[in-house]
Amino acid sequence: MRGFDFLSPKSLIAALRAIDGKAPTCKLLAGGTNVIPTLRDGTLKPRFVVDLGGIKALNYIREKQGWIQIGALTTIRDLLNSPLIKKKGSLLWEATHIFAGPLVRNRATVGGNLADASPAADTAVPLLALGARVKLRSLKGQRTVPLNRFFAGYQRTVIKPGEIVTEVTFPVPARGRKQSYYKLGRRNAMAISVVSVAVLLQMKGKICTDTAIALGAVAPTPLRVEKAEGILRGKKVDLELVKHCAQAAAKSVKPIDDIRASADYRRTLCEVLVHRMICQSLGLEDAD
Amino acid sequence: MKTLSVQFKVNGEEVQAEMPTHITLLQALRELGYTEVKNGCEKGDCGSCTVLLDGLPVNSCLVLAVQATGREVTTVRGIGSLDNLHPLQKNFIEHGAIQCGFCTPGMLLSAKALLDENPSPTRKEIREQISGNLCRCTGYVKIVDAIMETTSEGSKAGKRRPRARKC
Amino acid sequence: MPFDKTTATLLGKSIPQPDSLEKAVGETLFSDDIRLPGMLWGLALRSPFANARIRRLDVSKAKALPGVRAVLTARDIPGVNRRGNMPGNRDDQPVLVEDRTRAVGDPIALVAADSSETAKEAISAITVDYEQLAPVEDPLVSLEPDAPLVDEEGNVIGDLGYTRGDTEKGFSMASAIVEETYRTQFAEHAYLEPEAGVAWTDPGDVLHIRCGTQWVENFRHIARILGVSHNHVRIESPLVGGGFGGKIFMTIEPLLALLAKATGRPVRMALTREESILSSTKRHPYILRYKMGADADGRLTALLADLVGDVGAYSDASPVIAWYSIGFLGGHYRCKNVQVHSRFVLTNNPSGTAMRGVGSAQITFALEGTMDSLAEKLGMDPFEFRKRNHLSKGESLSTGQPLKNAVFFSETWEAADKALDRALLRNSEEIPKLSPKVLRARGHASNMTGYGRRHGHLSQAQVSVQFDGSAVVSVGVADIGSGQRLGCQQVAAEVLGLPMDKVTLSTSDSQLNPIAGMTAGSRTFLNAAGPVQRAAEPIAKALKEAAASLLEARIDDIILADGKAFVKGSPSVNVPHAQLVPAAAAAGTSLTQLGTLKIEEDLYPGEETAHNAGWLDYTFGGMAVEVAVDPQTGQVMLLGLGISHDVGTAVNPQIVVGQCEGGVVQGMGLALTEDCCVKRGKAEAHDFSTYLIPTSLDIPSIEVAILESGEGEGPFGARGIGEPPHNITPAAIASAVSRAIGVRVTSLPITPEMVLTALRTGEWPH
Repeated sequence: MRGFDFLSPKSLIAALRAIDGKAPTCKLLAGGTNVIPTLRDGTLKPRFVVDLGGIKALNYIREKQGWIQIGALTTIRDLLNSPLIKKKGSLLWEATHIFAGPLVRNRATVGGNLADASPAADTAVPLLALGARVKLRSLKGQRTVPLNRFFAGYQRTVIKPGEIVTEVTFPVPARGRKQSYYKLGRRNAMAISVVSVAVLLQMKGKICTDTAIALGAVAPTPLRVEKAEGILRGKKVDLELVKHCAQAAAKSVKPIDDIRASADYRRTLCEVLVHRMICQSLGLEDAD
Repeated sequence: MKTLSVQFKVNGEEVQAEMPTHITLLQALRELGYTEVKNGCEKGDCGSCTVLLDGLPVNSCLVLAVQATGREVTTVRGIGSLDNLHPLQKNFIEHGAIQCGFCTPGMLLSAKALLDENPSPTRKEIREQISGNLCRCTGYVKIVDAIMETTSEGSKAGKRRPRARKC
Repeated sequence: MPFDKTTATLLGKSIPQPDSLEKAVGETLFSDDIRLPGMLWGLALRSPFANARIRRLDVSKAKALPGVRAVLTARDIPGVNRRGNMPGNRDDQPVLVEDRTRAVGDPIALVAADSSETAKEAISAITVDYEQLAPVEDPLVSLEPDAPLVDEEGNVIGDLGYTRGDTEKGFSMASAIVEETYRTQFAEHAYLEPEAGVAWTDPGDVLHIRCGTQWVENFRHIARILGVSHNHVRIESPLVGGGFGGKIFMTIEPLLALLAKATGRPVRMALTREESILSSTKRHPYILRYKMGADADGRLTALLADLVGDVGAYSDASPVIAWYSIGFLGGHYRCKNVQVHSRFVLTNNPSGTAMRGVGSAQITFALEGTMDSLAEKLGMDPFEFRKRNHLSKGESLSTGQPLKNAVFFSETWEAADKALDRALLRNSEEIPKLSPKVLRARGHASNMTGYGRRHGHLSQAQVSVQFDGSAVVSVGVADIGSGQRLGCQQVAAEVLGLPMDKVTLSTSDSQLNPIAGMTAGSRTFLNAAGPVQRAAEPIAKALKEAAASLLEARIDDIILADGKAFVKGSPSVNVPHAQLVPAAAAAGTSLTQLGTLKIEEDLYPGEETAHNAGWLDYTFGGMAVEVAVDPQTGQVMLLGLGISHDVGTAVNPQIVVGQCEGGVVQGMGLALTEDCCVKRGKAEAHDFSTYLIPTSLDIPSIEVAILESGEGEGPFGARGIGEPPHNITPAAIASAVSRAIGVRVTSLPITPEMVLTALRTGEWPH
């Protein structure tokens, strides 16, 4: 017989108590846009479903001491409509703008998108570049995990039994930071990313003092390409260097062939798009 | 089968039923007789099952029926009727924005939600708003025309602009 | 009495569809929207394998489940376990698999249960022991003499062709020759309404099937499956949530029929999207080899076309599409030396069927691509090159069939090009944002699409007038959303001189309505509204006679309009229809008339080799597209699109424009994103996140230019327009992309990956 016990706690503590000890047979619902179809068709057969949607306290976007804090249950729509995100997290804002379609954006949440851990998760790529951290709570306490340590493998995270993602937070990018984001999909809406790229650069004159480059849909998880970042850091950025960096980025990914594109195409596009995004954010003339 | 008592409003009317927990809002609405909510994919890929949930358009296949408890659901029947058409419905009819009609209920609700928020959207904003509602017949042009006609700009113009079909 | 267009009141008016009102308010009851008392849920167990022998099938556990009312296998079929096919087509598809599956999705067993949950449980309680066999995936492999047999009668279900003149000699006269091979994909109709329906038996032992279809005449096949006479099966199609060719031949009707018959209860079935895509028919992938030669003046000297069509697992409509294909392969160009060959071959892939244009989208793509290549090789402008070769009215196609109506080749080409200019102007805010590095180019195509079947086609409709002057039209065609009912209504209202709301419709019921054929092939206006016109005319004549006598005028001077009769020029003195109808009845006129359209075409020279390749008439059109290609990613952006077709007479311009826009966007999908990605016989893309139909954000700025030659075979000189705008789109987009990247696009869909490979290697990848 199918079916599950449905629990809808109204507070975080109630939710933590509700899931306590039930881990293997319990599924959390945030926006539900990925989980519900699997409950409907029976691919997923949990004994308990805990809907976090009623925890209003986990829906917020605020700035605090130089950090942008986003409650895990904040919907993609709320991010898109947030002047704060548009202004101080524009990389993320751009990703929300082409996240699925409006109907999905009205339900899907940032916490759900990250916890789902799809390699193509749209919010993960800009958040990785922004140096985001994920806050996890359990009855035992709280811990913070940098997003680039959060994904443990294809659709796997470091979330432990009894833990709930409560917040995503990232430092407000310093003034003058350069940034660019691009998602290549097969359609202009309702598209799953073929390759997505987010680039953030801190420049002092022509010298790159810091950078973050994140890629999606080209490895088992969304990832930062640290080797490629290292090529730019501390150097005077010219087209030659950008080229090296883009090549290094393409070398550090592990894409697969799937229905949307081949691994080869994805690898090629990593190079093309990393190159393009760096040039675009710096206003460099792209020689290609 | 695990069931729960579910209570919500559909088009202003109170609905109460005992429902299996795994039933989606789409399945529940259709079984309750709200067959104007169409089932096209059950995965949130097509938008045929769009309803307004507390005024916000969502795929009802991506909401569990139990999650609708205490909330207000609007289907296309809630925005107008045969003898009292919503201006969007009137314009969809007049502009030829309805062919097979299967996407129409969802399309109208997405459009209504947009106009409720922004009475004078651009064509681009209209196209963005309906981008989760697939249509296989019209090529969207006449749908955008019809919505455009319903905007405050369109109403101001006061008459049909048959060639205004830029998409 | 010929119809006088000058006094027409509704002709050329963009009247909305009669059903759009109820559709807009959600009142329309589609296939899955009715519930009957005591209704059961039907489900099918389908094969996950494309080619497998069934060693053992055990349904005992499923039967024993409480709430299960029937579990049926092939052995339980009371009549013939064949789905049936059109006369002359191979009848090779069982309703339920006997001992071997030939395709993924083949139904093996059926269940009817009290609830969908119980039905699902019963399905999972059925055990099947499969012996998996290697599927035949490639039609070229299937053609080989030692290929495993997909069907006992052989793998080739159509081998057709003809020769005119001497192609060898033709090529020897050519100063430029091009030879190219084109490939197309499996495409899904992707109607938004998945297959669904209800069947029940009435107290008179008539089985009713209420299920969206494009062809209510399938009741005959159902009767044979059930082993009952034809009068015991009645198909009533509700309004259909999209068809595009995928709901012509039966979908779930036989399954519903078997379950309703076995249980004696109403049974409902509704496919999920996944089940729909995995088990339904598709557009045939074509492998098309064209070799064409032209002399230094740019005149074609030889054309050789060789087509291999992937039929998939079952014949379905393939033999018919094979005929039509050889009719299109020679194109609408003048060439004395032509050799055309087409083979349709069974595989273990999804079955091919009609899809918007029955083969002509694929052929137009290959033919127009080859024409562009040849023009390029000759150093000629593609339009100029085509102008020297396109056929004109009175000339014959290479099949031998003369073109009896206007051929607006240059007119539509130029109108489309100008329409594109307007489309680009509309898109003017977007275009300046393009990087200067994008590769921009304009491409064109020209096309010919048939409409109307030749030879003995018969369709009928009935028109009745009521004493108050209103009228009822009865015609057995289904409405799939593109205005089939509206066309009949508008024609009847025009001929009878009634306002639209005084004409009601009864359609798509196989027992109540005269049969008028399938809603397919761009011909429903001809096949359904044609007989409606013929039925309405004698009534109109009787009304005019009555009016002539009452108004003391000559019958030729009487005008019927807006529910009244008056003498031409003096509408203020009038007699309402409510007065004319009783008068006509008293005069002995039957108030109910049957209209018949029977098509008996003369044979044309060459028909013996190009058997059945021809259509009653053709619709001609042109398209112009401008694209921007990102040279580093291979992405194609459509900047604007202009389309023009000669529709003979645009009886309802809004419907015509709607068909053009809708057809273009569907064609865009075929050109750029849609592909079932069939592997080991299975459509890997079987939901709408992987089978990518265009969204509202993907469409370009589209401009439509309707041309009216006044020459067509439909009512008031109309030509078919349902399919032509779709057929031409992939060809035009491919032409533009080819120009932009400098490599001929020879396969569909045009993915960014293929474009990038072509840019890097200088060759289109296959």
